[in-house]
Amino acid sequence: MREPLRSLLGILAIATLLAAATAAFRPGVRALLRDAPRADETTLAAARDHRGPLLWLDARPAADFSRAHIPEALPLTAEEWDAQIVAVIQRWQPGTRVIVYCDDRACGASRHVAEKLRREYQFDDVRVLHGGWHAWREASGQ
Amino acid sequence: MRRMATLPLRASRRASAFVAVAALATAASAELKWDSAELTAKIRAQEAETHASFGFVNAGAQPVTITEIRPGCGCTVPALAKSTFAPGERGEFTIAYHPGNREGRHRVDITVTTDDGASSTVAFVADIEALVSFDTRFVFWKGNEPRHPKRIRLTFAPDQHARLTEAQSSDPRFGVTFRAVGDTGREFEIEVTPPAEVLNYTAITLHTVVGEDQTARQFTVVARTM
Repeated sequence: MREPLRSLLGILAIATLLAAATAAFRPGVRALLRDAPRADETTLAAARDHRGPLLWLDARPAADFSRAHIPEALPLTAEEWDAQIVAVIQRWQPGTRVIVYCDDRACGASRHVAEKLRREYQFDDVRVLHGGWHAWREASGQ
Repeated sequence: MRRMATLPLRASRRASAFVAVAALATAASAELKWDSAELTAKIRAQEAETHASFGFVNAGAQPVTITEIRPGCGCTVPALAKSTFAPGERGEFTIAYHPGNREGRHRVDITVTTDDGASSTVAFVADIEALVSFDTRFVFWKGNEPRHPKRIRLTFAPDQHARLTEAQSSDPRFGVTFRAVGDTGREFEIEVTPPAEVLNYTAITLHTVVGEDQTARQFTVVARTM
């Protein structure tokens, strides 16, 4: 009885290892494995814990923003920058934490907006929301 | 002797099981293998659109159908002529990238999803020449700060045949003037004088002409009292 049991356990161990290896090489799983906040990112939990003025900026395309967005967020995209930046500046004051989000885990749009605000507008506290719009939706049960 | 005979047999069974499991794992992972997971393009300041194509091969053992191509930016429009690919078959999708008012390095991640539920991400990196650069595009005065004029410096990229023709303030209480500075003909200084009141702002539209055909381009900078 021991030999078949040992063989079965061996096969199960090999299958588990293969499944893990296959999963680890799949891009979606790889993304999850490396899914730790970068230096310029903030998590939703940290944003909620933040004490002080907070300004949400939505870097997604206009149609997505129209469908739904984080409450009180303002749209700011490269396409409509000059038309949208004035409203952002009206809401901003020194000491405001700005959090930019878009809709993909590896979204470049929010990072582009954040960099531009730091470089050209001297906004001193700009972060990118880790997980973006998806993180917000999951947390709010949408 | 009996023991000697059973050992290879057990090893053979294990090897068969290993091969079966490996085959199952391979069959389940029909995935795309990209020629290059990241493409970079240099884009000139006045280029309105550029194209790129991502080539791939179906490296899995099953046919695969691309169900979605999702760029992380509305500036990028993907196109796919054919969506289902046999094992070993080559394919490609193209993108049209519109830089708009962007400048510098801009990365667009593009997520490709297939019918087996797998997704992979490729990236298009645009290195966009800046037509104009500013030392800042926003000046402000805090509540108790003296209302002295502040300056914004604008520099056109070389060989653009560009100049600043007008600076227009949306709020006339902000005084706005500009002048050419330096000896390159590419640098301009915009001086903004604020009103005494707090909580005012102005959007200053900078009218420029660019290129041999003197195309009109506008840029906005902002001033605010707090």
